[in-house]
Amino acid sequence: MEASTFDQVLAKFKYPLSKPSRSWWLLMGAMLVLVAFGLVALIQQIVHGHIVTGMRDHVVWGVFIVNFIFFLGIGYSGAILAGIFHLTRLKWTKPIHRIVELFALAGLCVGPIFIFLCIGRLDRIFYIFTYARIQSPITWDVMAIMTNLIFIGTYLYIAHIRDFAKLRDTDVVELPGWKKKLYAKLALGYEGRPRQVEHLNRAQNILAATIIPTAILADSLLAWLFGMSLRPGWHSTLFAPEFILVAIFSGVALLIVMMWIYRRQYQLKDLFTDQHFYYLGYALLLLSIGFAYFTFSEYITEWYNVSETHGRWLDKFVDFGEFGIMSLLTIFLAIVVPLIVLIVPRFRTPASITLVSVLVLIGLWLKRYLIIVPTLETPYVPIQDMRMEYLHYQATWVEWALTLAGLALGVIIIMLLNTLAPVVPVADMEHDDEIVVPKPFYETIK
Amino acid sequence: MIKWKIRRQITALPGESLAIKMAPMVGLFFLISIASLFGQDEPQRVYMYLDYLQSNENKYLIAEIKYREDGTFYQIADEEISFWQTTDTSELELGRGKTEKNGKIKLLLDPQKAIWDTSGLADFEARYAGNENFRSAGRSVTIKEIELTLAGTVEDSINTLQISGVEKLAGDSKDIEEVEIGIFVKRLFSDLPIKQGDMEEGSLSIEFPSDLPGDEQGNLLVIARITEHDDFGTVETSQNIQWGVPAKIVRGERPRALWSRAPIWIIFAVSAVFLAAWFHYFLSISKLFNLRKL
Repeated sequence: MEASTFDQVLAKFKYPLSKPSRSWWLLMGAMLVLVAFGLVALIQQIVHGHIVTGMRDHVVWGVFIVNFIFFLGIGYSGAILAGIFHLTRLKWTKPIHRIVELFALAGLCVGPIFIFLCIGRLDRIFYIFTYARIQSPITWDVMAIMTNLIFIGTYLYIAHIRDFAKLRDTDVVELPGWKKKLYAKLALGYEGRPRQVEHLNRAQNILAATIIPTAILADSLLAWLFGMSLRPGWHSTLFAPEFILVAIFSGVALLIVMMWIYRRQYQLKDLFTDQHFYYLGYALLLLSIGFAYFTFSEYITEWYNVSETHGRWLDKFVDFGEFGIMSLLTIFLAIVVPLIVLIVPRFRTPASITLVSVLVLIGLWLKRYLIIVPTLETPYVPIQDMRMEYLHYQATWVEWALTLAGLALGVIIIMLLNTLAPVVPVADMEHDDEIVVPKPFYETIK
Repeated sequence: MIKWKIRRQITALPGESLAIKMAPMVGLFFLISIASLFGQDEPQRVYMYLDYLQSNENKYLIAEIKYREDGTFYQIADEEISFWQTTDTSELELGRGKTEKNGKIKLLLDPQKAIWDTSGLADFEARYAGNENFRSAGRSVTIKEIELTLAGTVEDSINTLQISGVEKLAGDSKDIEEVEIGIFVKRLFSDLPIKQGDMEEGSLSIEFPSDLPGDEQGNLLVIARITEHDDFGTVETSQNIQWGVPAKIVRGERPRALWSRAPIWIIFAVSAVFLAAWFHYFLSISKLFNLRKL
């Protein structure tokens, strides 16, 4: 890639690097409104307690924990994909490295907030640390999330150092003085000298190799927290691998969606090519088949020899008055639609793959809902003074407001990071001879 | 022209004079109906209940407020109720508070405030001031103070409960008569009824079953209760007696909970994984030290 081409790429990010554009401010304003709405809901919850949510004696977890798993899944998948992309040195993945790192950090920042919202006494939040018991698996999950957040944050920073140095020295984009000074600090004096390159590469390699197993373990730990209880639907040996597959599935879907948005926003058709969409579409197809396989395995083993409680749980998935529609919708969005659109070449376009990805994300959110709520609505021992509101969960506006606020917060984090560095790791690509465009699949097997 | 024709047709209908006479009435009725739709509803009538509960040493007043709509009663929550002790000449506020979701409020009587007169009687009253939605309401009860005691004895290898009760008078006492006493054992969700009998000359002996499951030590919380008596209200006394069959609590085959102690080898394994991860993290960070000088 010649310097002039590199400069052209960097110039595309003039906004929001030099100053945020009007559309950036509009989107940021909309996201801040959603966050403010969430804060109003949070105040309601703090003042009145969890009674303002749909959570009751039986269904003690609801949309909050669904979001917790969903966003952490996004975060962990981002970490796994970032590590794999870096270590495999697949050149065609270079332009999309940063997107993966961005949503990994956003997911790991937003996810844990939802577990805090499940806590009745937020004023005692620090007890998690002051009274932490290292021998408790729940404490390990807290540690795993914190560890991954710090690791991916640091990885993101290391991956940015070359770009910070480039932005410190460039004249292509007019940057404010304070930002130049900030880049000078953040670049740690990096000027591309051989020893610097060697050390930076080593640092990034080590961390990339570390974040893959830690993210897999952390997501497994989250799955085991469910799997090690004896509740119907949770007590499954499949849970950890299924959680990881579903996380990567949602991560690839989000990657495609973000690629499409950035491609339109910054006119990056030569960087995020159609072929990128096709390659990731194939990955999405494989993951969809894997998801179908796990879903089938999960329900067939439960159904074939079923106990009374498990039977009650399973019946809810075929009862249209309970979770029947949601189950079908999940299968339709995350299995049927991807299979049809991604297998048939005629249907395969960047836009259709993006649309499928959006539907997959919705389907996988519903899947998490189906993991949590039906199980909690199927208690082993019915208690006295049972009220229907204890047994049937219905999320309230407070929970939906906080869900939207969490989503908005994730967007805000990514938008703020976009003002700091381009969404394409331009400095990494500077020394490449050309922008590597992935070849069509049939060419790779010639 | 067309309008005129229609008007003519209408006015030509039979019963014309009656329709004209009724028109103001119909209009008035219509206006009243509309006004009632937009106007403020009349405050609802409030049904108030007041109960007295004496449980061991503690004495309570329990008030409940409800309203009725379409034949169904609904509890009124979050409304302030005040409690009073009244005599012929004075009244003393005992306390106040807001009703719970079930429409009830329970006041623990302060022994310094609630005073029984020389004949062992006290008048209590609960008052609800009302608001724009609900009318005011009040209810009073007169209670005789009694003392109920419970003791467990073993007579000829038979577990026997001795219950005695006296009316408390100023400096004196009087045996209570012909009062039905129920014996219960406290269970997880509600009280298990065992037997009942009538108290004669202030005492009652009841044989207690020997096959009730207790806790691991065989403890049972035995309750003797007079329920909603006209003079005494609800009075109960309870005692922990070791007459139960000690429960053999079988620990589950999988006794681990997620918040309890995991097996030591798992703790070591997890710690090793965390240490290994953090070692590599710091190894990575160390490569960035002195990057400027390289």
